[in-house]
Parts: sequence; structure tokens; C-alpha cells
Amino acid sequence: MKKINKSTITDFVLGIVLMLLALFSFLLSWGPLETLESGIYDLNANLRVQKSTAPVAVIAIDEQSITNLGRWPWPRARIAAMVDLLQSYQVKVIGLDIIYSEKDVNQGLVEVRNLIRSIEGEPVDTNRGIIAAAPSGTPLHSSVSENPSATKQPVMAVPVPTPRKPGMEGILASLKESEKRLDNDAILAGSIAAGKNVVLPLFFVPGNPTGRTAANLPEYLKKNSIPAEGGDESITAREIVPPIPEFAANAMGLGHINIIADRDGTVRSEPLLINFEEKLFPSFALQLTLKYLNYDLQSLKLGPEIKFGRKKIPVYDSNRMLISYNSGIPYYSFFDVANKKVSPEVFKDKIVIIAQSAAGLGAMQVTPTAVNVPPGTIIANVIENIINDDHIVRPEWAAMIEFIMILVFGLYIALVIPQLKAGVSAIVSTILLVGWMITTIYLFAAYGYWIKSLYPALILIVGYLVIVSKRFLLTEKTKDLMEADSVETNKMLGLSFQGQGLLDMAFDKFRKCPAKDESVKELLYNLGLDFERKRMFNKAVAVYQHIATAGDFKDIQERIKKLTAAGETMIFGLSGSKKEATVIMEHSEVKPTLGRYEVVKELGRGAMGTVYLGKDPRINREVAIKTLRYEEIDPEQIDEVKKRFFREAEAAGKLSHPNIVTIYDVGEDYDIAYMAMELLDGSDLAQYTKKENLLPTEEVIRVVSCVASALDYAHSNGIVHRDIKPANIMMLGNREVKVADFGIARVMATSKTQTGVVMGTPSYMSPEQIAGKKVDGRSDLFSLGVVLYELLSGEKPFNGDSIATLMYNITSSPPPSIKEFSPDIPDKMLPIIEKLLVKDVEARYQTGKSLADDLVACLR
Amino acid sequence: MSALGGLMNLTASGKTDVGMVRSNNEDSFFLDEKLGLLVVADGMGGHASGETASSLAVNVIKDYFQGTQKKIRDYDRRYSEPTNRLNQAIRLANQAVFEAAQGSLHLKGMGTTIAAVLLTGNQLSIAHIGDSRVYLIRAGNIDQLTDDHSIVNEQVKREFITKEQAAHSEMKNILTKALGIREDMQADLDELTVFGNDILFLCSDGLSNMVTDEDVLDIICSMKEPAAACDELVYTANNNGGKDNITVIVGRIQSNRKWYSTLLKFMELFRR
Repeated sequence: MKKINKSTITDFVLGIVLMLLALFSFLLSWGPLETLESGIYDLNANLRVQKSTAPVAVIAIDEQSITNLGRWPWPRARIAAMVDLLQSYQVKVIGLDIIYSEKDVNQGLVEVRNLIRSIEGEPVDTNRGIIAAAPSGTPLHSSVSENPSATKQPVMAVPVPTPRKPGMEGILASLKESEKRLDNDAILAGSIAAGKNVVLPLFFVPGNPTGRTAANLPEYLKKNSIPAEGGDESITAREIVPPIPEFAANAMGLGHINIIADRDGTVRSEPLLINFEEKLFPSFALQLTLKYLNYDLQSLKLGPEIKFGRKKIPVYDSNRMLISYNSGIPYYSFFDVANKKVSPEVFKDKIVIIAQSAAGLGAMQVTPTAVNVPPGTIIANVIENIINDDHIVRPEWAAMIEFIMILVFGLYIALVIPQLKAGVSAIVSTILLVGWMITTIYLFAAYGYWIKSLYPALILIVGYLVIVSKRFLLTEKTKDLMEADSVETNKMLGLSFQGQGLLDMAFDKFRKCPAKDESVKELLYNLGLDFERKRMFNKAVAVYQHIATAGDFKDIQERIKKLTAAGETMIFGLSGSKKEATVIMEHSEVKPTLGRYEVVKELGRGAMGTVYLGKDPRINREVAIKTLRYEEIDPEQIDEVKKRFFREAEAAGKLSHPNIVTIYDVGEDYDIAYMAMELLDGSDLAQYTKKENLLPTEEVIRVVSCVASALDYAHSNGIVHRDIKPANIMMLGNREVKVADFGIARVMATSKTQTGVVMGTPSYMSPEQIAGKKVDGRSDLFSLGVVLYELLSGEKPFNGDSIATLMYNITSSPPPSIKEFSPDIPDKMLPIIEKLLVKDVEARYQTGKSLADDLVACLR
Repeated sequence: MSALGGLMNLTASGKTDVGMVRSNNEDSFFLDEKLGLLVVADGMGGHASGETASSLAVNVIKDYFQGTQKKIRDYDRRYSEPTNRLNQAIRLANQAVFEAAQGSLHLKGMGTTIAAVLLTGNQLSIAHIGDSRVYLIRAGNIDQLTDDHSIVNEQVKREFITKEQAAHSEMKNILTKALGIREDMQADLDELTVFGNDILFLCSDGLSNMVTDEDVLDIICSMKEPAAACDELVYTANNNGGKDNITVIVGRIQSNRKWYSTLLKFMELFRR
């Protein structure tokens, strides 16, 4: 039958809950977790960094260039000069990453034009350059002025004809040349048109589309875009900022330079296409690559991968490409190149990007691999990726793998961890975690597969911690501090011992508890009272004194005083100490009493307890008082013993027979049990069992038949003696025979074996007594048989060097024939002895009377 | 607060008898229907220390559950909290009996068996050391839940002798494990789901050696009242010889919610 553990279910539920949480976060791409995932992504990205081998170079307008060549913005002619230079180096494609969205307004040019006009008699433009000169052929164009203070209205001045002076022609020609030199736009336009290999940038303002269509786009824009299909998800723009038409029309291609960073400001991808009025415009980098590889933009095929020719660019959502950053892209200062410090070989047949990199010019970007990266470098990287097919891609199966791993790890923490030991689960979880991370990192670094390792890893870590802490807290809750625990345990055990009567052990336990605790004092006090009740006064005093070490409590001081004093006057002495304490009274006016009897003196010590001579004051009769000696009896048995003592005494008290010692009274006084009985003047038969002191045979027969009739009487009253032996048979001065200690002997049972109750002196025990069976009067007869044997021969019928042997002999060995020891035993005795000592109860004498009769018959 | 949580009702009765042969009773038992606790102990040792051992063990366990016990050392995660508490009570009893035995010449070497069950809701925790037994009577079948820690049982398990031979073996009373003999003694633990109309039966070997399992089943099933069943069991054991002290506890479990227990029984079918 399977057992379902409550804690298993709870762990399981917990695990499932965590797993569901992870799944939700995963599916919803919860912000903070995505940021963590980006962190992992960046670390992985750094691992991918390799030396670039692509045919790309970047010419940067850096601080050095600015310092040496002047403040930005530079005259466009300078740029044009660089373009020309690069053409001469035979570059393949130039990417000019500077947006010229407005015409160049050059004050010098305006004045030169004015001079030309005035010489030629044309109207002078006093409004600073809004009207361009007609002869240069450029159409009038209005655009937002660079100079904010200028107004927008064209002014037509009234022509004022002026006669030409001689020599003005030369000046005019110079001026016209100056005009040409100053017309930067024209110069740059010329350079752009010359090589037919310059790509210019566009800029988009991202936002929701305004709903217009692309009907009014200039031709050059249409040329550089492809129609968007329905369902296109590219990033949309609401405004476009192209270069001036002079440049745009002559450019080889146009591409946008929008950089879209992630939520955390790091640039990890580039939108290859931007949707403006339902037309998709390629990125600068894409355009450069296309031109380099001689592909037409229109041949682009969209989808999960953007394809052209044989190239496939895997894209993330919104047609973004994940950038795999590499190092070592050739990077040169504009200044150095302009001063021809760089070898032309570097640029030959390559894509060259001219971009700004000085701080404050272009917006620097943050990438996974570096901060302060100029946009130009990013563009170069993208190109490099496309050309070298070096991509980071999120495969279609990635999401499914992550999902499955979340499930797997979720089930692992729900089902497996609870079943493992703490150490094992730590090791296994670590292995799983490390394995998963290494796999994803390897896939990323080597193959560019971006698998989001965060969610499964997170569920593993968090789940493990939760389950383990829960287990830890649960066991902590039910496990208390060791110190407090053992105090409670000791209190409890102490009480149990005390209840059981094991007072010494109880004291040991209570001593281990802090005595200053009131409840502990209470426990100790009650224990002290118990000791008092058992007359263990010195121990009671010890307990009270122990309490006193932690302060006073109730009446312990008085008790200590009283008990210490009582010990000196009390007859019965301090129990457990001196066995030879005598009865001598210190003060004769204080007569000790037991019940109503006066205690006169000690008569002796029996197996049971001390025997005193007492006097019944009422009838002035002297009695023998037997007391129950507690120190011979184990404390835990005392109550039981006392109970039996009284029971047996009561029963024996009913017996009235000439051969049975009469019991007068039985009682309890100050926790001493006593029995008042007839005072006997004589001694027991023990002395007559010695070989040298044997009684004559007739005497033995007489004595034994007296005992037999006493037993017969007792048995018929339902009382078994259980301990018939020479010591319990008294012979008085007048040769009267009295059997003593009826039933009481049972109370003194001390040896018990596992098979049952065994009592009394083994030598005289009947086989059934030894076997632990219930005994009846016939058992007494067996014992009497042993006594008879001994009185006749001076030898015991059953012996043994150990109790076990002795018992075995009694139960199994036939006794040696008495004739061996005493040859002159009358033969008539033998069958009697045999019948008394037979093992089988049924075969024995059944009543004392029949024995007595047989014995008497022997005398004749 | 009832430990049973209102789900199950326990009606129990127990009886102990000295038997026909022995002259003192070294068995002890304790039952508390509200706590759901039933305990039987069979003591052994010289000088009547068996009585001390068994009653001390039973009292320590009783005191543990009736007191404000909360502490459990060495929590065993394989078992539920109630089972761990029962185990802790037994551990304390072992400590008590062992220490008492060490502290007195007369008590040296004393020990006792112990068989205890604790009912919490519908979960039964079972713990035992020795050859006192716990049985479950369900749907007309009697099933011994505990595995005797005796030499003859080991022999039977290893198929050296048969059960019948074990019942007549001389060594039948010799135990391999007893409480209080060693400082560190681990009880056998087990857990079980109980249902309405289940009957729990605990006894010392004085009964199980005198009355067969089938007869026990007959008697308990025919006597609705636990007290009457106990009387009849003791009587039968004595009739058959009564060679040792006899102690029995019979506990009837009633379900408070019929439909719930029927549902659980249904589920239990599949688990078996």
C-alpha cells in the first residue's frame, strides 16, 4: 500500500506553483526578468567576440581630426576631398554617415555671388543668401535656414543697372572661381556623383504612421525602398529626414541610420528595414552590403530570414538583426587619412565608412561589449556580420526548448528534490544548472543560437531554495533548542520515575533542571514529601536543601529543621543508613508506639523485618511485633508489598489453631507496617536440622504431624503457607509446635525469574512453585516433606551449587533415598517421604490430614 | 482539541489479566480515546522488575502525550509529524526504563515490549518493539500489522521453521529487541490510512500465544462492544491455558463523514 506523505504533497504543490509562475513570466516576457536575461546575453556576446575579417574600414572624424582640422561642422568640400581621395584608392563602396539634410549656408558664398551679380548687373541679394545665383543653374529651393534669425521671405531687389568697368572681367572670372570653390554643396554633389559608389544616410523619426501613402515620395526615395507587404512588422516611422536632393539623387543608395536600443539602452540589434508610409527602407549597413555585393534592393525577399542572392540574414522580430559584435575592425582617424598617413591598400576594394566619433558629435552607443561606441563602428559590425554570415539568431525551436526545460526543471523541483537528502539535491541541482548554462553558452558562443537560459535557470535556483528552506524551517519548527528540550524531558522523566516510585532517579532528573524555576521547585518539593512518606528522611532533607540553594520555598526550612531533629529521637533510625541502630530511647517519657502497642525492646531481626517486644496497654498483654523492613525491599515495590502484607495478615488473622501462631493485630504506623502476634517463648526448628542435633524420630514424627494438621486446617480455610521450612516452625518451651508466618512469607518474595513468580527459600520449594505455576496446599505438603527429610537425616533432599541446578533437581531429579543418610529410619516412613516428595501434584498427599494419619500410624 | 480532528471517532476498551499460571501481572496498558492513543507493554526482568519496566514505559508515553509536548529530536522525514511524536515518546520511554535499570541492582536488565498506535484524523501511526502486536480488522479480515521482534519470527521469516513450529518452539518467548535494554533502541514505525468500521486490536503475547488469529477475528466481530470483546478474549485465552499475562485493547473506528470515507475507500482500492 502506498503511503502518501503530507509533506510530499505540499512540496509538490509548491513546485508546480513555481513552475507556473516561471511559465507565465516567460510567456509574458516580464520586464525585470528580461533585463536579467539581457545581462546573460551580454556576457555570452562577449564570448563571441572575434577578430573581424570583413572588408570594412571605418574612417572616424575623431577628436584628433577636430583639433587639427577645425571645429565641426566642417566645410562640405573637405568631405568631398576625402571622398575623392578614397575614390582614388579604388574603394568599392563609400558609406558617408553624415546627414546633410539642409543646404549649406555659407556667408562667403553669398557675398561672392553678390559681387558677381553686381558686376554682372544682376539684382543684389541683401537678405543674406536666400536667393542663390541664377547662373549656377541650381533651382531655387527653400528650406529651413541655418540661421535662426533670418526671415523666410525672398526679397527681390530692384535691379540697378551698372556699367561694367574695364578689368572687371578678370575679377569676375576670379570671383566665379571663388564661387565654385565656395559652393561646397556643388563640390560634394559632384564627388558623390563622380564615383557612383556613395551611399548616403536617411533618418527616420520613429512613431506611428500618419496614414499618408507614399505617393509623393521623390524618385530617389522610391528607388531606395521596397513595398511593404500586408502584415509587415517592421518598425514604423512617422517622419523622414533625407539628405538634400542634390546629394540624394546622385547617391548610389540610401539607407537609414536609425539605431534602436533595447529597453536598457544597450544596442543589440539593428532594424534592417523601417516602414515609412508602407514602404520599407533598408538600413545603411544593409544598403552598403547590397551595393558591395552588387545586389539590387528590389531583389530582397522577406520572411523569417531576409534573403538576397545566396545570403540569408536571420532576423529577430520586427525585421531586426541581432548584432554579433567583433573586434578589430580597421579604424582610422580622418586626419591621418587626409594627410595620407594610411596606406591605400587598406581601403582598396573595401567598404569604407566615414562617420563621426568625437564626443559630442554623434550619439555614442552602449553595446554588450563596450560603452562609448560610435555609430560608425556599429554599422561596420553589421556589415561584417552579413558578409561573413556571422549571426546571432534565435532559432524557432528555441522557445520550445525553453518551455520544455521550464517544465522539466519545474517537475524536478516539485517531485525529485523533496525525495533527496539535502546534500544530494544540492549536488544534482548544481550539476543541472551548470549543465544547462554551459549548453546555452556554448550554443551561443559557437553557433550564435540565442536560447534564453534565464527562465529555466531561475526556476531551478528559486525552486531549490524555496523547497530547501521550507524543509529547513519545518524541521526547525518542530525541533526546539536542545537546552530547552532536555529540561522538559528531564522534568517529564523525573515525574514518571516519581510516579513509579523510583524516587532517587526522580531526584537525579530534577536536579538537572534549573532550581530557580518555580515549577521545578514545586516538583522538588513534592518529591521531598514523597521521601518523607517513605521515611527516607535524609534524602528528603537533601531535596529541601537543594531547593534552598535557589532560595526559600514554602516551609522547607521548617521541614529541614524538624527532620534533622526527628532523626535523633526516632526509634527506627534514618532508613538506609545504619543497620545496627538500636532501640534505645533517649527520653523515656517519649514511649514509641506502634498502633496501640507500646514498643518495649527489640527482640531480633527476621527475614522480614525487625521483631520487637511490645505491650498491649489495654489488656496488658505482651506481644511480638513484626515489622516490615523497608530498606530490604525495593522502593518501587513497597506499595505492592504492603498491600499483600495486609491482605495475607488479614487472612492469617482469621486462623485459630493450636499449632498456628495467633495474629492479634495488623496495622500501619508512620508508614511502618506491623503485625502483633502471640509472643512465643522458644525457637525454630532450624537447629534440629543439623546432623549432630537431630531430634529423635518419634519427636520428628510428632512435630511434623502437628504441622500437618495445622496445614490441613489452614488449607481448608483457603490459605496456603507457601514457605514451610524449619525456620518457620517454632518449638516452644513446653514442646508445643507452632507454625508461624502464614502467607506473610509470600510477601517477602524477592527472587523472580522470567518464568513466573518464585518465592521463598528455594530448597523447600515445590516443583510447581519453581515452574511458576499456581500453588495450592499440596505445595506446602511437599515443603513439609523436605523438612521431614531434613529433620530425619540432617541432609536436604535437593541440593545444587547454583539455584538453577537446585531448581532442576527439585523439578526433575528424584531425591536420594533417605536410608543413605540415616540407615535406621523405619521403613514405614519411606513411602510417606516418597509420597510427599513426588513431583506430580496429583500423586502427592492431597490433604494434611491424610499425612497426619499416616504419620501417626507409623508411631504405632 | 481532539487529535482525531473530527473526522474519525475512536471507541476503545482494554483489559489486562494475570492469566492462569503467573502470579503477578507484568503487563501494562493505556488508552485514551480523545488522544487516539493505544499502548500495550509486556515487561520482563528479574525481581518483578518487569512490572516496573512496563508501567514506567507506558506512563512515560502517557505523560508525553498528555503534557505539552512539542519537541522531537531527529525528525525522520519519511514519516508524518504524528508518527515522529509517537517515536519520540517511545524514545523517552526507552531512556527512562534504561536509566532506571542502570540505577538499581534490583532492576538491572529489566525491559519491556511496547506496541502503540496513534490515530490522527484518518491517519494511523504504528510503533512497536518486541512481540506485542497490533492487528487491523477490516471487512471481515484480520491482518497483523507489526512484525514480531522474536527469534522464532526471524526463523519463520527466513523459512527455517514454519509458523506452527514457531508456536511450539521452546524459544518462542525470546526477543531480539526490547525497550529499555539498550540506551539506543529504534522502534519499527509504520503508517496507515484507516476508514470507518475498521477495528484496531493490540495484545501482548499472552493472548496471541493462546488464541489464534481466526478466533480473535470471530470474537471481535461478534461482540460489538469493545469492552465485551476484551472480556471474551481474556476468557478464551485463560480457557486455552492462560500461560502468561494477558493484555488486550480493542478499538473501533467510526467515520463522521460517510461520503468522505466512502470516497477514500474507493481511492484506496486503487492504491492497493
